Amino acid sequence: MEPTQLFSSMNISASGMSAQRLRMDIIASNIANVQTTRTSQGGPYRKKEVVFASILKNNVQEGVRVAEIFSDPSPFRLLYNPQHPDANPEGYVAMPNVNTISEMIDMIATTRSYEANITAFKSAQNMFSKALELGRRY
Amino acid sequence: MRKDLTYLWLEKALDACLLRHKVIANNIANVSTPGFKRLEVVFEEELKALLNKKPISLSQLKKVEPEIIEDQNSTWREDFNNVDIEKEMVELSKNTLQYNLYIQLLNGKLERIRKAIAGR
Repeated sequence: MEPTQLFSSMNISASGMSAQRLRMDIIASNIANVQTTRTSQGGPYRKKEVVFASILKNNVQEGVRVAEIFSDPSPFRLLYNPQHPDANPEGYVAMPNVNTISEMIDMIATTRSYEANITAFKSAQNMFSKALELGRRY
Repeated sequence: MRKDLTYLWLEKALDACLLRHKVIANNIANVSTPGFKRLEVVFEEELKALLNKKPISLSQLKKVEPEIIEDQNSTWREDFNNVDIEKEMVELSKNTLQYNLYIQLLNGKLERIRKAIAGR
């Protein structure tokens, strides 16, 4: 029996958990910046998203990583608010292209995926402790 | 210890379970990776085919190895990822139970040997 097999499956689950946690960080940033009209790049905040890619180790797929964080190029929401200092001459303010509802849904999906990875990790632990029981009494 | 068919069979089955666990963990980790295709371990089918033609020799059983295959069909998601999380979770718990079963079988066999040696 090869215990490294089980260790590497634990690493795979860990990679899944950290990738989902990074996705959660991005979602939190999107929600926090739902009203942000000024950023260091200039202009309103743009919704960010992650791109997952699988890790290849010696031609074997071993886990997942975040390959890229990209900004959503879709247009900003225009809100009529002439008093706002960032309003354009027509009185419209460009607001971030973040949709709170879809962020909340992404958040739930991320939580569930994270939990699925934890379950896989726990199964590996369970299998390992069973293997340690093997021949204990003899 | 003399290597008999049962030991070899259990050893191979446990190895296949470990490999399958790794593959399922990888499928779960890649649940939102665009273009990812789920992987699968084929082992029991091969073993069953071998068990049907008797008698089985040790060398024949030695040749049976678990194989990783890629599931290409079912592109019902728009990112061409075909991981079905419910299916993977079921496979995961099935695989863990199967592993525990094999460990128990192996323990039973060792227990009988101990009884034979101790005489009680």
